[in-house]
Amino acid sequence: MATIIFLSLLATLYAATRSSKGLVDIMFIVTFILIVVLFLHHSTDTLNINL
Amino acid sequence: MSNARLTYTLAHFYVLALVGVLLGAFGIQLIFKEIPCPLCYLQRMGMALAAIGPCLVILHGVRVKFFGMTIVAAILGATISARQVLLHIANSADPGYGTPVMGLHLYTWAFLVFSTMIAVSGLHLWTINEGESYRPARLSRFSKCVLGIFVIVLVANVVSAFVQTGFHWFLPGNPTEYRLFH
Repeated sequence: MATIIFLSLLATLYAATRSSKGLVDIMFIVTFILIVVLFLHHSTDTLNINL
Repeated sequence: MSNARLTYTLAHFYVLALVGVLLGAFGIQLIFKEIPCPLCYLQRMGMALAAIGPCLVILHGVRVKFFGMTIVAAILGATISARQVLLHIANSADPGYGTPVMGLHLYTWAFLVFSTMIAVSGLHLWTINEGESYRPARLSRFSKCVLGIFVIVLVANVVSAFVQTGFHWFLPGNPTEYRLFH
């Protein structure tokens, strides 16, 4: 998932080179949500260790 | 020099500063052979997302919206780094994760960087006059270099994350090896 998020960041930057609205806004929001999901996963996992 | 033009020029240095931090993290990963934890990767993602705003300024000129995007991304990044700081200060015997740089761990530095980005974006929103904008007729060589370096750093992170995750869905909680090779 981390790889997908970095690819999504690249896609956001690519969209930014095309236009300042529309696709870049959607890609930004999608990437944001993916990061939040991954953060929640790693913050609530049940591993008994300190990150 | 107008406020908007100054802001446009500074946007390049904001991207370079964030790229510098990301390269510093890479340096520690490769030189000190420290494998990044999931929260470290999440902070890298937050920094890259926060750099999209200044990149948009470089590509499309100074607009209020782009600073809003930076603030939103920096708040997310600051939340992630604050979470990691809290993890390690909860237990006073915990030495923290990784090698400290100038007395502070990387996640503490990341929190300071995200906080600074929020403050700087706020200052720009404060000082830009309504309706004021600046956009050069075409991208300078310097602008293209800055964006190119950012792309290279993002690609390097794609490779690093893939090598560490391998064909698993999530990163290991306490990484000790690069999963792709094991």
